[in-house]
Amino acid sequence: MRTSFGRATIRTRLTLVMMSVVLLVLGFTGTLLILVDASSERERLLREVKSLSEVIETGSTAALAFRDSRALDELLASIGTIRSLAAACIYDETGMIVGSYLRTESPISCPPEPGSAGLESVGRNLWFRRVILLERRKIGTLVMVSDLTETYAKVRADIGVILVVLGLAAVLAFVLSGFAQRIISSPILRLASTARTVTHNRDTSIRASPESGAEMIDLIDSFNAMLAKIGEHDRERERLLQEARDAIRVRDDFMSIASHELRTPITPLKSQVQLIQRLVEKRQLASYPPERLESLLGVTDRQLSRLSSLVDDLLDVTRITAGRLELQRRAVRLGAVVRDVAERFLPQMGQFGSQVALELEDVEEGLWDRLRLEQVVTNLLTNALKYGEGKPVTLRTSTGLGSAVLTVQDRGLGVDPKDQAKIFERFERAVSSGHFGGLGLGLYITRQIVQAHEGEIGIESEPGKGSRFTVRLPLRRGREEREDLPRAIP
Amino acid sequence: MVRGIQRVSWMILLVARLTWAETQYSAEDVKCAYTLNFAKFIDWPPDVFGSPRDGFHICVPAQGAIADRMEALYSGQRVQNRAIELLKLSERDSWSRCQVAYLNGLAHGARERVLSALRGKPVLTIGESHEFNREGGVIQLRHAGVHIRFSVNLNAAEKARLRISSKLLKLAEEVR
Ligand SMILES: Nc1ncnc2c1ncn2[C@@H]1O[C@H](COP(=O)(O)OP(=O)(O)O)[C@@H](O)[C@H]1O
Ligand SMILES: [Mg+2]
Repeated sequence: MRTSFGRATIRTRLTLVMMSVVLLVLGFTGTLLILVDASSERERLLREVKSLSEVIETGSTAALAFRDSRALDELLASIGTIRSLAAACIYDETGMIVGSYLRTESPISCPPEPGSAGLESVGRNLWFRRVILLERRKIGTLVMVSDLTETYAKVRADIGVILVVLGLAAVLAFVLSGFAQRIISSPILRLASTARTVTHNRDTSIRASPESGAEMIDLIDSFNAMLAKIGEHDRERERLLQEARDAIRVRDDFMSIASHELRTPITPLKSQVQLIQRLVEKRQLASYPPERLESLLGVTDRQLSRLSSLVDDLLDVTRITAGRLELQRRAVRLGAVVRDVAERFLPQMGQFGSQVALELEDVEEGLWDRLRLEQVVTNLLTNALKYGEGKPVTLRTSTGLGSAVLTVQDRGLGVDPKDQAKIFERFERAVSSGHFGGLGLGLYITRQIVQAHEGEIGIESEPGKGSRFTVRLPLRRGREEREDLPRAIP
Repeated sequence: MVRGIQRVSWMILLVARLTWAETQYSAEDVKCAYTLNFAKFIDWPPDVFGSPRDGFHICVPAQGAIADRMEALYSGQRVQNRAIELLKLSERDSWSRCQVAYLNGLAHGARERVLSALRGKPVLTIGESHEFNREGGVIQLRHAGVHIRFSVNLNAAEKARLRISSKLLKLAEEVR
């Protein structure tokens, strides 16, 4: 629950706090001073009256004993000059007044009965009673009446002074709290207005200007740090959004390419299948020239394998994205893998018109996934043939720095330096889809496989002069993994 | 209101003082009380008293009426921290063992004889005749209306080695 004090402005609160502190402290001290003053005044009075009463007692015994009222009156009158004494009365042992002094200007009288000894407050008066003894026998009583009017007047004057001081202090506190407010709350107000500007303009580049005071410095620093953080977060969000947009655009591009790529082999496949169907229906299949049938089936087979390799690539990408690329490591010689792949390509070589040269150094066995390595070599060789413009292609194996090294070099199209990093990403291509078919997945999958083998892949290329892709595969694996390997290597 | 109270209190005061003046005590009683009070304001030389248990001797003529009043009033009383012993004496008795000799009631001749016998002795002599001080008596009483006044022969007191308090002297009508 919020009190009205809680809702008040800092200025009001500060003023209230300061004024109440000042008034409380001063009021307390003032009251204390008055109390101490009044009690010491009363104390002083009492001391005075007591010593006076002793004098009167010794002076009055004889007069009392001989019932000399005149002498008693004279005695009392002689000490009646004391200012605070309003009246003094002497009673004999029967309680009759036998001597008295009354200050004429004061409206005070002797009490009719002497009463018991001691001090008594009656209205504005202090009655002090003393028994008068002669040879240990009570012969009378002295009653002295002190007038406290003056003491009260003094206290009243004190209260007046303190009230005036309190008033002045309140004014001073009010003025001072104004100053204090300027020191304390104006930086806060400036900070608040900065915060409002930031919210209103949605501009996190604004910064609060520095203020003095340890807490304010802290607050401003944290405020600015917070703004910086918010700005950072905004930029990061913007970047992620851009990334997501890019990814969507890439995926959309891919979808159109993929559908085109997948459909390309299907149309000839369909027409070939229909041709064969017609031949079967007309029972002319047996009479169809065998070399033409062979070439027909050969085309069909190529289209099918193209389709299946496209589908394989897509499956691989899905697998890699899902983190399910598992390697079946066996002892493998890199040279053997390259030779096998190259031999498998021999039938298609003519199609590209490129000479493929093998320069295979004998490289140590490594623990690799053979099928995946074949995929690597296939992808790189396919690219070299595809983008090699019919110029010679060289496949090279060697050993270097504890790794098996494979280079695939062509003298064709080359890759622009700005695209060189990009081509290893998913769906990224540096050529137009019109001229060269492809999903832009080959290099992506290749790099994923190489990295799964803890290896690396790089490109050196000059546009128009050809490209060289280099793959390095470490011959020894990281220590901890090597421990639990089957001892397959002799 | 305040003035009213003041006036009333003044009246109470006046009434009280009148009452004291017209005391209900008889003159004899007052004299008895005075005699005792005198003893309270006078110092005797220390060699007067033998042992601390000795009484304080107040002597009075046996045949006077005041002797009986004194006997009644003084019984059980103390003065100078001693029990009062009232001695009723005749002219022929020795008065020198008294601390106070109340001589009223003796015939003129007898009083003179006792006084001359006591001259220089530490005895407080009290009398009422208007010649008493002159005859060498220390304190002389006098009726003055309703009051009883006294005068002191300081010379006689000094001869008797009695020290009379200044408080008492202040109240005396006359000090010779
Ligand atoms: N040997 C090469 N010469 C020139 N450009 C190449 C070569 N290899 C790859 N590229 C470029 O890299 C891109 C990505 O290759 P890749 O991932 O295999 O996809 P695809 O071959 O399906 O286009 C290719 O589109 C091409 O622009
Ligand atoms: Mg490719």
